Amino acid sequence: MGMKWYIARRIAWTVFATWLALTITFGLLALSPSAGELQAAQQAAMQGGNAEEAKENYQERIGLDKPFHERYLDWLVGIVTLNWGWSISRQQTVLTAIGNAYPYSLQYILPSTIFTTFVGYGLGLWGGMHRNQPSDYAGMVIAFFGISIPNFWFAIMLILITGVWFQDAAVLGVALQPFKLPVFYDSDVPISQGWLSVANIKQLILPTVVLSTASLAAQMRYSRAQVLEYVNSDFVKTARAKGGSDAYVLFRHILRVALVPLTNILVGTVLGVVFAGSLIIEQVFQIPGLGQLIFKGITNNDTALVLGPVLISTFLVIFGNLIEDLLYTVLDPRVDYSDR
Amino acid sequence: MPKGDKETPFQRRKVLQTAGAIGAAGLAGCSTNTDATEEPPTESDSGGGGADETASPTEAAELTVGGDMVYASLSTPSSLNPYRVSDTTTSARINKILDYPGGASDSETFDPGWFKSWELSEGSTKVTYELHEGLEWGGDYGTMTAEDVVYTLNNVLLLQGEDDWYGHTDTDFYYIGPDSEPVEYEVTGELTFEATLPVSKANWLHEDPLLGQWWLPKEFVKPYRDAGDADGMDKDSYITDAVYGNGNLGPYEFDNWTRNSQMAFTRNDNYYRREKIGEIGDRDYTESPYWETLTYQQFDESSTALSALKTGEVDLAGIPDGKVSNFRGNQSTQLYESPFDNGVFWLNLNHRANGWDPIRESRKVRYAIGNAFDPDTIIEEAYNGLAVPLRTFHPSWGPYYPSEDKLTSLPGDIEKARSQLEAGTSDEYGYEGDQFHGPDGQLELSMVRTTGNPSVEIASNYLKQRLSELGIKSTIEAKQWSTLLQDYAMNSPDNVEGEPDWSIGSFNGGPWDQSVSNEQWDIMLGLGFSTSPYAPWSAVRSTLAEKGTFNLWGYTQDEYDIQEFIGNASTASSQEEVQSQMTEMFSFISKDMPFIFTSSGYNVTGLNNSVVGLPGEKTDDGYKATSYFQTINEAQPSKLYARKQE
Amino acid sequence: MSGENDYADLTFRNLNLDEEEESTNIQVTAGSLGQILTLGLLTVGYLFDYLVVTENTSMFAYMGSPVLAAWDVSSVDWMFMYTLALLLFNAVLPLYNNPRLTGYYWRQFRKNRLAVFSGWIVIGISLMGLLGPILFDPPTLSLTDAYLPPVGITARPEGTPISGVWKYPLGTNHQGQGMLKLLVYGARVSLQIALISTLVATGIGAVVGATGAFVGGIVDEVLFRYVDVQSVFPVFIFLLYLVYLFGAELYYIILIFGFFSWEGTARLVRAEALQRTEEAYVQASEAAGASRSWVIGRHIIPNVSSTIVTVATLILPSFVLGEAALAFLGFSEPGTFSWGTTIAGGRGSLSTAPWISTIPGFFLFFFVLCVNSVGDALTDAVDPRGESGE
Repeated sequence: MGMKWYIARRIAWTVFATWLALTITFGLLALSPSAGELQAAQQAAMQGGNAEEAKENYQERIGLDKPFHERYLDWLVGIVTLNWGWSISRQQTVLTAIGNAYPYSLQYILPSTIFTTFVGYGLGLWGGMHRNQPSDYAGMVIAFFGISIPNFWFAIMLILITGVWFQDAAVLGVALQPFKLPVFYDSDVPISQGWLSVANIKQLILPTVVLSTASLAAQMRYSRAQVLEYVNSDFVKTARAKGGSDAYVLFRHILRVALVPLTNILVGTVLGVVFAGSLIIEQVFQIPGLGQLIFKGITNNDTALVLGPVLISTFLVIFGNLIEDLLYTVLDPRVDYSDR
Repeated sequence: MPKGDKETPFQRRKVLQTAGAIGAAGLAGCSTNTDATEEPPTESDSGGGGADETASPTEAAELTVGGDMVYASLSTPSSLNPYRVSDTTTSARINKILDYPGGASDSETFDPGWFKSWELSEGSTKVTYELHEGLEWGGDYGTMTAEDVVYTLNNVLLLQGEDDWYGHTDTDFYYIGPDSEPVEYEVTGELTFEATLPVSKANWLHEDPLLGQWWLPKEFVKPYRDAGDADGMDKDSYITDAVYGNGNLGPYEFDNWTRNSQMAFTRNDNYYRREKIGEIGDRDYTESPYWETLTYQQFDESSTALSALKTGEVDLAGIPDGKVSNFRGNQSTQLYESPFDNGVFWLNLNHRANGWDPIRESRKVRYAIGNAFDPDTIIEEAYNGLAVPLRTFHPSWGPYYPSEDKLTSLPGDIEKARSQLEAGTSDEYGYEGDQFHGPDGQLELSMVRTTGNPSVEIASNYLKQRLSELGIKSTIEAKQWSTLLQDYAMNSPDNVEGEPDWSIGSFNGGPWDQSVSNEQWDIMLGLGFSTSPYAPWSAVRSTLAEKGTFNLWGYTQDEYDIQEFIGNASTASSQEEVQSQMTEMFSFISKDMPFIFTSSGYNVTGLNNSVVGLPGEKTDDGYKATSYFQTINEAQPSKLYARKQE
Repeated sequence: MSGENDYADLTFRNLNLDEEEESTNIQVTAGSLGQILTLGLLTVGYLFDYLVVTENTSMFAYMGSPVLAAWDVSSVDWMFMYTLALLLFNAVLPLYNNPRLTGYYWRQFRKNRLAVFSGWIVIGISLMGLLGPILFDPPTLSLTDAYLPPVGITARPEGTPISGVWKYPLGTNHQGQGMLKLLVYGARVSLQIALISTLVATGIGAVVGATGAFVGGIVDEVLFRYVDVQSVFPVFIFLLYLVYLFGAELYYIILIFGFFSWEGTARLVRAEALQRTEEAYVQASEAAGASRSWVIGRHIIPNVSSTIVTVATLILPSFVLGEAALAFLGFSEPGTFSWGTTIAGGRGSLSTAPWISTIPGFFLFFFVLCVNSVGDALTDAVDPRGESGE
């Protein structure tokens, strides 16, 4: 009974926090003039007309002259009924825009997350078991490389090397041309040749690599810390004393316990890194994904377009936290929320 | 950018340009300057339906239809709505699906488009239009009729004030004459209609806004008009999915628009020009367009675009000044350079009350600033030599450019600048050691510039350093284009106490002391104008006359009444007369130097080697052959492209 | 109290409590006195510069002093001085006063040889940033010297081969500014960004975390519910938006970074502090009548300081990289010499003039890598669950 109550309260909290974040965003965006308004004003000025008047006319036509609370309520109702507004800069509904953009983002974020999790975790486990030895250091350098390098620089370098240089160069007599990767992301490829086609995968390699390196270290750090925590504990010492090898000890005993905080990172941190990092990657590789969507929305004053993705990301993170905490109880029987 | 043999009415109208916004085409005129990898220059040559589909006169037989063309573009179109076009990127894209109604192939001759003929009456007060037969709309709207045109005119374009349900922004162009009366349009037949001008306009062929206007079927517009629902019409899929282009009205049909990525078009087999116009003059449209598909690939990061050009993943890209030298000698690309951009960029100076007074008061002070700015070094270093120096509001290759001895030059000499500064300012100002002091201490000037353009950035940083050599401190602010327009360029009498004596518009809210901008500024970089070199009257009148629509600097002088002068010059009896008058004017402008004229940019395009210019050349207007590209690798001028024959 | 030998006679009967001086809560040590004086002086200086001295004039020139007359102290500079002062008195001094603890940490830390090596690099770069701008003039534009390669190297940035010259040992960028000077000044700016933002973030986080843990109850609930909301807020987007609205100035950026990055710290500090609140010395302190803020400030925070320090070193690099990302997007303050701006400015020339982006890129990379490494080692060093058996 306590558990169900806890879940209910958490869900209620999720909804509330999402609403709060959204309201703040709405408030902020309402403070700045909308794209259409600015356009109308500028066009009028260009013709030698009256910019102020044009702005007012525009507002009247679109309904921006209604009082704040009315606009807010309209918008809230719209959110719930899935009418998320019209994006002026993209000339489509916000939902369509998000729907179109999301697959492009997902197709490199998902593989990247999986890669990061496994490789990062593995590096951390290894490093923890061999603390302060050269292999630990090597692991650390690899992981930290990603978070120490400016993403955009790394991305552009990779493009130059694998895209441009490979085309003409040869190393040790082997022409590198077959290994050449596309310089930018052609959004037509997944549609005309399939999302899982070789061509599409080829153009996703670089973005995925750049994104992965960015979040590798976080995973590694946590898993290494977890291993360190348990590597000297009694049950591990016992297992070792009984003759278990390193690998055995690792997999049978430490891993299960150490998995708990893994969920912590998997949902929370990675999402965070990914949403900011992806903007830069999408900008450099020209992937028409969510990062670009939001960025263009901001620079074009396209209010509706920014609110939609903020809603999604906020919700995902809060919801993710909830799942994390629930997973905790499954993985670690000592944890129980029923008395909270 | 090359204007080709005709300047579309669309471009002619709009005047203001930016040198700043990569990713936002100029709101008017010829879009941004050379540094942005802009829309491929062939874009705006659209009087005849787009450059890439007009064929060469003699060797058309060698070219075959086929292949895919990919253009790299750094700017985004704002929509596919033919009624809401305010920038050249959008108009260039829509132009792929819809031809223009017509143009002028030289000063007298009408060049047909949708209109088969355009006749101006004897007294220049009536125009008769005739549409081609069999122009088909996309969707189920049948053929284009005169009714369609006039309906749009009377129900969308001409409306003002309360009745204006749509809010179309180009209305003013249809109101002409000293009393701003509307042109009146009347249907006279299935395919013909007539316009009655309230005043006589001998030059109307070059001023008729209808030649640069698009419209949609009456059946489509009517329901929205009756309901007063502009928003609904804008969101109708007929517009948003460009269904209107599926007839035979343009060279291509719209295929898809993946926002932030690509816009793709496919060849329209039914393109009306092939049958209805065919061969005309020395142009042959019978097989155009020559590409099977045409795709605009958007890039936000210009280095990626250039890498793509190198590897052949895009076929055409504009090349920023700083990178041109990298492409010279590149094996897989060929470069086309054109010095004939008609945009002029200069160092704007604020003559209004919220600037530094000596700028307005003294020519010498302006010279001093000009010497500090040193335009020749800027061209050499910041633009890599890829710009044409200017000393007045006219490009140096234009017909009205004064001779060198009639122009004021700025050698970039700091010593001279120092003495000019001292001479031009009152006793309150003077040098204290190395610093130039005024009543408030060391003089400080505020500069504002646009973002996103490396050349502008370099120029502004250079100026700051040079000013400090002159003993003047300066601060630089970088603003987005729209903020720049709104808070610095536009000015309002509300910012000054009292009522203005007169007020023209948002860019000229009143005399220099009665209307100022929201933000204080002294120097502005990144904002320029287009000059219409062959008909510069309106450009000069709207910017340099005291009551000019675009006189945002608040510039005035006592020697000429510019408005009157231009009026006389533009209607002078002979070309020589016009020439000598305009040249005199430009010489004066150079001497008075309201702002520091810098340069007119080049336009450099890189093309993949597999693309060739169509052979043969021709142009039949004042721009002459030089308005076409001259390749660097090859000596022949050419402008039009098709795939090389294997 | 009265005379010297009174202690012998002191019994409860003749102890007159009312006459006793009230012991003040402020224990005045040399350290805290120094801190108050320094911070006070800085505050006065800042107010003077902000309110009295005309804009864009050097404070020193205004006062007629020939020394330092060229230095117009910027807001970022003031914040940096505050930060350095706070660090000196609250981090360096306590370490100095506690040799035993410091020694312990050092021995633990030393075990990670990589970290020690990294530490020296961090110190080296920091010194370069602190002292360099004092020794060198700022980089100047020289359009005719643009795109020079580093000395000893011949390259073709613009088609024709050019060789480097000694005047610009590391070459020049697209505006002809010397790379070496850009590096040095960039180190200063990056250091400023890093330290100030980190201090703000960890400072707020520590206070919030400790307060929530110690006070508990509804204060804890409210504070940490707010932390939840803030942590889901897409900060980067928010940052972009604010910069877009208000203009790109370095001190906004630094402050926004600081104000929106403290949630992680708060959570971690809270977890640690929760353990401490039950300890005997805290309870004793409370019993002795100490106020809450006293307990938090004097007992809890110093004892979770190890956590605070490790968190600080872990978030510090993200600020430097964040500024580089902003510069790439065009949202950073124009004209700063930060490494991020230099790298972003050279990104278009990576194939022809790679030194422009790569040299500061490497420095940035090493700095961040080393800070990460040090931070990680510190985490190990202060972690009582570690392997060592001290």
